[in-house]
Amino acid sequence: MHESRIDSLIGRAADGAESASEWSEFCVLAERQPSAWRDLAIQQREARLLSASVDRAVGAADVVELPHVSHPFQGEGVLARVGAETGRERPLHQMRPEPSHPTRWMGWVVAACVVAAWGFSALPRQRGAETAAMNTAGLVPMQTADDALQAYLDRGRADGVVVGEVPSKMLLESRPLDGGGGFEVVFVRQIVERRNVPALIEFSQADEFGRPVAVQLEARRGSSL
Amino acid sequence: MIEAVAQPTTDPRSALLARAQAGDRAALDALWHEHRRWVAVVLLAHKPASADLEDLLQEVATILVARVGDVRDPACFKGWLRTVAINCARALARSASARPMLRLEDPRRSEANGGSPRQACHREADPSDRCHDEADQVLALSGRLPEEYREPLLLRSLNELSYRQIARLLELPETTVETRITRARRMLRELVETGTFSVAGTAPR
Repeated sequence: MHESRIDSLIGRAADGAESASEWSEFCVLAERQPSAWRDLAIQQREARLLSASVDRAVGAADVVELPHVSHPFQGEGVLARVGAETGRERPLHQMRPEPSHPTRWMGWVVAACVVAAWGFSALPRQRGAETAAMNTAGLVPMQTADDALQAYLDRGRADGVVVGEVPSKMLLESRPLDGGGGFEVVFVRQIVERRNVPALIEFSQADEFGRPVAVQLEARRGSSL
Repeated sequence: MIEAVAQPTTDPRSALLARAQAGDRAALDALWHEHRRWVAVVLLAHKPASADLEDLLQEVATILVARVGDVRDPACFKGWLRTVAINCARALARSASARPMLRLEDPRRSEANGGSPRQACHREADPSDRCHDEADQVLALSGRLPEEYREPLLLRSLNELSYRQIARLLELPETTVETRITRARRMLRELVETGTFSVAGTAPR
């Protein structure tokens, strides 16, 4: 592709970056090539449209603030350790940021509600808050949250609802404990579940404008993702 | 006891970076506020079409907090931040292509919304006030330009950076940037008019 001088001048004028002498030069060239005026008008319009759209899209940046990390570590050498049982270490730069807005979690909330609605019958019945902390009627006394989670995992595995727990954990925040002796960490535990759902939507395609297109998968024997 | 004495910095931007690296949270915030809009444009130029720009910005912000100390030369800060942004966008593109996005949909919700899940999703992604928005269509079409043209064009469209500033950011000669923007505008026009564009040879260096 070859740029003629007039193309270059049109580009600068459409950008509003032309000098007075460049504008004069354009006017002289455009007298011999009147279509240049049309080209300029079209480019100016498209530049204006694109600027408006970029400005709107980039407006997202105005609400994104830096995450609050209590003690930001710097450099490659400092690692935060999560999960003694896995021994995995994760550099701080791989941490997920804090959500800037409650709506960031809305997708998860919706998904959780849907799953809860479908799978409610598979979950243990609610017995009341007072019994949860001192439940000794079951096989496993639940004195702590870990006990309760373990009971859920065990029951879920028995029911076929829980496939397992992802061994690595996603670190959100860490800070050294006062007086040394370790770190306080905030992290995400990921539990893999299996459910039967009546419909599955896939977003693996895009339309001509790059927007995701939802495709409902057909349930066929032997087919899977 | 020997202590390292920091060299006095006179350039206010270098000083801001130095304060941010020293743990001054306000300086770090100021640094982010100064750069986040063009970072968003870089992400826009490199991210997959379906990726959420705000999520990617959060990713870049997190890396900035954690790794700002890695930047040794203040003159390289913008280039470093741009590389971070591009890496975030490309990492997401790799993961997105490796694993299709899935959403569990309760058909009862969709019926309550007045249609099939597919129709409902189309409505969410394509509200009438936006799908007919010509400006958004032009931006979407710019996504079909080659990266080396798309990025300078979008950076220029932000109306906050001069050719020279864009050239410094992209580490290219100013004339190259101008040529790429001119070509990108021509290709975009062809895309708008015909749905395709022609490009001969490689991007100018």
